[in-house]
Amino acid sequence: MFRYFRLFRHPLSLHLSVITFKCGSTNQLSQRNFITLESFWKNLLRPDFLWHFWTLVRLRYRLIWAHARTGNGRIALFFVLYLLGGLLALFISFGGFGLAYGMVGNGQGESVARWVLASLFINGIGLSLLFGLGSREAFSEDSLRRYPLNSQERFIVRHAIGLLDPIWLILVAGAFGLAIGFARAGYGSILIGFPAVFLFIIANYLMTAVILSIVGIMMQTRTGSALLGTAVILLVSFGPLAIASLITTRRLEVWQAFDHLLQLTPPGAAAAIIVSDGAARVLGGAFLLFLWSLILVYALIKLEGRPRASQTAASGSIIWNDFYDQFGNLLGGKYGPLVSKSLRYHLRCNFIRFSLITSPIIVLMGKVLFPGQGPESFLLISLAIFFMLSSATGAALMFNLFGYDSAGIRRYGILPIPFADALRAGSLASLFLRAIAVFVAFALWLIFYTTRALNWQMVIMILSVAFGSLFLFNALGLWTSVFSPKRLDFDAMLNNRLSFGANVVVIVGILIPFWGTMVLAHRIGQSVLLRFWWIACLILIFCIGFYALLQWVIERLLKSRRERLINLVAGASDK
Amino acid sequence: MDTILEAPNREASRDREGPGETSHSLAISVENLTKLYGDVTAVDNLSFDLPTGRLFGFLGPNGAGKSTTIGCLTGLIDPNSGTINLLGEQFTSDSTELKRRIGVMPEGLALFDHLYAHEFLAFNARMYGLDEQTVRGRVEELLTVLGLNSAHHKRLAQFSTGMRKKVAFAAAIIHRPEILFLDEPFESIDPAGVAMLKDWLRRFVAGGRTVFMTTHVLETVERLCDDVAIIKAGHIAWRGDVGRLANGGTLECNGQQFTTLEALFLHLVGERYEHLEWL
Repeated sequence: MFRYFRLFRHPLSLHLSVITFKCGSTNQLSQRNFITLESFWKNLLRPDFLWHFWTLVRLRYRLIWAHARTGNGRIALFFVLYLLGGLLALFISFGGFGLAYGMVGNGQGESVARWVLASLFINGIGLSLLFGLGSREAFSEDSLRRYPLNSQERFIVRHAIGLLDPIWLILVAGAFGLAIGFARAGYGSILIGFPAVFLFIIANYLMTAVILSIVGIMMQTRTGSALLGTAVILLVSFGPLAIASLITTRRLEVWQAFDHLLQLTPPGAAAAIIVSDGAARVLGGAFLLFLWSLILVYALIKLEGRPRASQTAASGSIIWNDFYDQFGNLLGGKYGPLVSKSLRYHLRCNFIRFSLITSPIIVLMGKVLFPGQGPESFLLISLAIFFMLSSATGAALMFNLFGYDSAGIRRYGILPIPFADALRAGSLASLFLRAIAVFVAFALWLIFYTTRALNWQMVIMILSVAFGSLFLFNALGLWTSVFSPKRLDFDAMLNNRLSFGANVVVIVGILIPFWGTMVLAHRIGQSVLLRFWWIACLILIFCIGFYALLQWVIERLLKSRRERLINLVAGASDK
Repeated sequence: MDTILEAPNREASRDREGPGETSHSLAISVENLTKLYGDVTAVDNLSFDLPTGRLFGFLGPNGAGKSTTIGCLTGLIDPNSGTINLLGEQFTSDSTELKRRIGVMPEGLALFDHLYAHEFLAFNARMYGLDEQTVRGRVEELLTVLGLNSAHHKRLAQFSTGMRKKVAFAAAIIHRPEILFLDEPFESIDPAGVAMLKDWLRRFVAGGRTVFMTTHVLETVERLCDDVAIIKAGHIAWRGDVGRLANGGTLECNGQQFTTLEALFLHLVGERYEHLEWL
């Protein structure tokens, strides 16, 4: 094997293309990073391209609308969500306006603008990680290849359409409100502030896309996903502690250091432009924002140009009786192969692996989720977060048991088994994987979270509630898998995977313990809770009973929905 | 492969007769089968019988109802009315015991894309109740003879269309079924692979089993099938033995004689030679 490195030199060229050939093999890896800044601008200004771009933007929104009208009540939901989004944008916009107007009077205009923009920036990244940028599912690189677009144009189209996603419009509203507030108070001008806001949002989008690309690349390998999971756990468990300790010991120095650092970031640059009192600061801020955007575009091109990690087995020969088969053998001939298949499938899905690895850290976030609660609420909060953990862990798997099967769902129809057996087996696999997550969470809770003396009643209560909700949500997962299924993209790391029904169950599953705890925290003390520890055991028994009942009933319910379910998951075009 | 294709089906018929010794003469019997999709009638009062040991070609233009019929015959689709009998027993989508005796290569192939080829085949074999030793032996043999051995470390999603068809075919025959349902089995497979599959099918039928196949390759049907039905708008428009063409015979339809199956097919479905001025 030899490698052939080629450097494309051009004054405006930013890229280094590395082409690797494997001699004597058809397995050629090529890295196609042919996007240059020069071609970027040239393509952006081509009338043909602008027409294609406009057509695809319209198609994108038609697809959203088509998806919205496929089910009863979805049209109403679509309008309600957009109305809520609009109201939220308006609210944030007015909030930004008011904040800017108020802070100018205190002489802290730029500093406040910096921190407000920084919080919008972090929110943008956080919300995108949760809900996705929205572009790749509609227009993936592969799907865009069928249109007359070259690689540069596809890159621009994918990310420009991503930028038009409603989530970014909400952030734009907040930043605009801030810019208008400052202009109204006599600082800066709207003519300079608006372009700054656009540049800021572009930088925010690009930063998010870069982070997601890195996460996606890491999740392609088991080692990468384990490292990422560990990093997230450490960040969430020790990060807040480290920051809190820094702030309490050296409050002023830390604050000033962060503030100085922030000035070099996109929020700091945008704040300098919006609250400008001189051309030098405006130009400096604009230069910094441009520089950030260029660096991020370059990073994104490099990251997206990486060849995908090959999904090949490590061994050159077939391995029989691996862990999945061994586990399946424990369940016998009826469910064993189905459970093994489900475990293989879901543990190979990056998104599910990431969800299972990172979800246990929620148990470390009790103080963040329920601020201002005293030590008397410790047990109640712990019970609530273990309940929440069970509702959200591996939700894409639990609430949509056939979602990743695509056309493979038809196989269950031709195999010599009742179709419901496939559903039951998927649910057992989900139960097993999520039970492991609960045990990990329990260990983390014992190591990092528990500051008070434990007693056996507490342990029984925590485990009973955790496993009770595990069975409860798995039972509801049987229901949503049949009545509210969704076809999923196995390789995607972005976007909300849950169907409407699953979203409802997850949101209710989080809100009930959250509000329940907020209401009861000051009314029920720990000693009272401990006195009634046996109620948790009754809850567990009830939930197991409910799960067993659903497992039994689901066969009848599935009968009338089977064909529709198969067509929906397999895809209409693949009927 | 000889054992899979020709020897009596011991796994599938542990507590009943082997395919060569079955008491029933009809492999498939369909009576007044109807399937509606909303207002659209995909299959309309379809009735036909198919004896055992035949290689049956089920032809028709796109949207004629071929895949819907095969879906009903294999338990993927529930018909609105009509009865289906396979191997002398009434068949519904819940007939798990009968499903053990049939093999299916459905439209869309129904593969689990993120399994490796050996995992997928082993999964299928285990679901049909084969013992572990047989599972491993057959999976390795099938991968070798189908030329998939070098690709077994790839997930099925990374396979070419032809390779995916071969895997789906292997999954359909791995348990030595008595009736094999194949939905467009040859499209996308390389010529050598097609020749091998045809040979397997001939030997499969010679062993007393039955093949029900849909395809658009009429030449293949002419050379391979004993019996052909052409379906149009949910009805059987023609049924006959195409074997006579090999001996210089003709096919008769509505008083007309046809020397090729293609000519008959085009006569039935209507020749359409529209011209596009701009092309």
